[in-house]
Amino acid sequence: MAVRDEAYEREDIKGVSLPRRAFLKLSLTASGLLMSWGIFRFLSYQQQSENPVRLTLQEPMAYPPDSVTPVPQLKAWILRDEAGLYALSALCTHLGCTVGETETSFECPCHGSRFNLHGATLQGPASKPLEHLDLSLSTDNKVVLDSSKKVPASQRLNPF
Amino acid sequence: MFKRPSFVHHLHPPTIPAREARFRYTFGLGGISIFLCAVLLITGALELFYYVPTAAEANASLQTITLLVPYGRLVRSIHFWSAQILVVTSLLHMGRVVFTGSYKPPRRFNWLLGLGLLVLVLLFDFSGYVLRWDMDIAWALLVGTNLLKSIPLIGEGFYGLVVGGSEISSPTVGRFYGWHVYALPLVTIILLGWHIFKVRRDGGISHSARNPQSKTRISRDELVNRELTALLVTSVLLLAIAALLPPHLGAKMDLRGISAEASAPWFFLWIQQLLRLGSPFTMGVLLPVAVLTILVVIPYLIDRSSDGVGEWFNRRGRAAQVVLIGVSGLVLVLTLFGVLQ
Repeated sequence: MAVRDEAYEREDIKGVSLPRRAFLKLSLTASGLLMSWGIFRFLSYQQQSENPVRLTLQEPMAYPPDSVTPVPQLKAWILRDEAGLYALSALCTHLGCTVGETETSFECPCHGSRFNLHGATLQGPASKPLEHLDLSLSTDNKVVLDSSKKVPASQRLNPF
Repeated sequence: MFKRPSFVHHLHPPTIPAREARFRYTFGLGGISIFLCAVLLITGALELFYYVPTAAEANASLQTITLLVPYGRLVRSIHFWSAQILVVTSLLHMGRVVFTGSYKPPRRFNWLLGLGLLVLVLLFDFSGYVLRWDMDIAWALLVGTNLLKSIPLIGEGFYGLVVGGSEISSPTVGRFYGWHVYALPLVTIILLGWHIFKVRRDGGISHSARNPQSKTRISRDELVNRELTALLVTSVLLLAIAALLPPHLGAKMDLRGISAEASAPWFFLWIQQLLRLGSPFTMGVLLPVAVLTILVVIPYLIDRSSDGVGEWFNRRGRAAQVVLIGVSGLVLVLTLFGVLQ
């Protein structure tokens, strides 16, 4: 037989919608949830990154046709094809390792993904192509790379 | 007057059946694991006095411990090797429990506590590697934390909590430090105390209900003697390994360059191999969680019987034994592939 809570039987609180035990349970649960939320918020402060996202590089002529130039500070590569200059992010789209360059492709040392020089996936496990990053020209005719801006794969900078 | 036994006396009753204290039954694996935890707690506390949890100084402070502090190399080496051996003894302990049917009622809940402790051991080991803040762990840390991002809905928030920013940087060391030296030990001490308390509460180390004629018991003194012998042998081996094979410490972590040969710590090599095979979430999160889930449900779904307890490879536990062999075989093969690459 279940133990009956005497509080439910008492005349003076009959009809009260929230007896003491239920009230305590509710307030404990609520304060527990509130505390968890507080701890979550406390831990979620994020320091601003000090690493730059935008760099002014060299003049366009410093990148000859079919060249592949690393920009290690921004984890990117500057490349040039017939249509002009473009920048590829060096971050593997699988799990973010930095890809290295081989003769005709970029290769991720972590899990073996490979990409061609236009960033398209040659071999998994990465399923997405490397990201193309924004290139522009500064007023003094230097190439500016902004790694925070993604651009379509077809976009080229052609000041030649 | 009846006196309640103290915690130590609870763990060491006046007498226990001789057959459950046999070395060839338990191999002393649980006891050795607890001893290693104690060694880790002490050597870890010593390292705390010199370790600096910032990206700029973490690696250098470990160099200080290793090269300048008297006996620092040995303390660090003992800490490292205890942690490595603990992974092995925990896993073997789990194997012993499955193959002797010790997960069956009334020990089902203690099986879960044990699995919780196993997860904690792996988290401890990984965060310990991260605290080295060297190139050996750099890419594994990057991959491991990016893996969190692949979890739907909560992934990004979870990543922020673990890494302490939008990318791996100084706050990351602080976070892993906090977990490694405070939060994880706190949880572990509670779970471990509960785990060994439950061993006695559930009727002692599992033993067969058959052969009731063997009634020999050993005394508390004999039990303590055997424990001390096991600890002595473990200490000598541990000291020898630690003195002869000091752990490596790579150059300071720097994630700006091109990834070099990224290799997960050995106990996560199987996950690294899985990651080569498909989408990060499926291979790196769902599959490992599935492996853990299979272990969790062993006494609840795979083998619900309560006979055959304490019998090596008992018939009723066949399914559970096959499942464990299958899962560990898979993990072992993947690990071997990882080692050979």
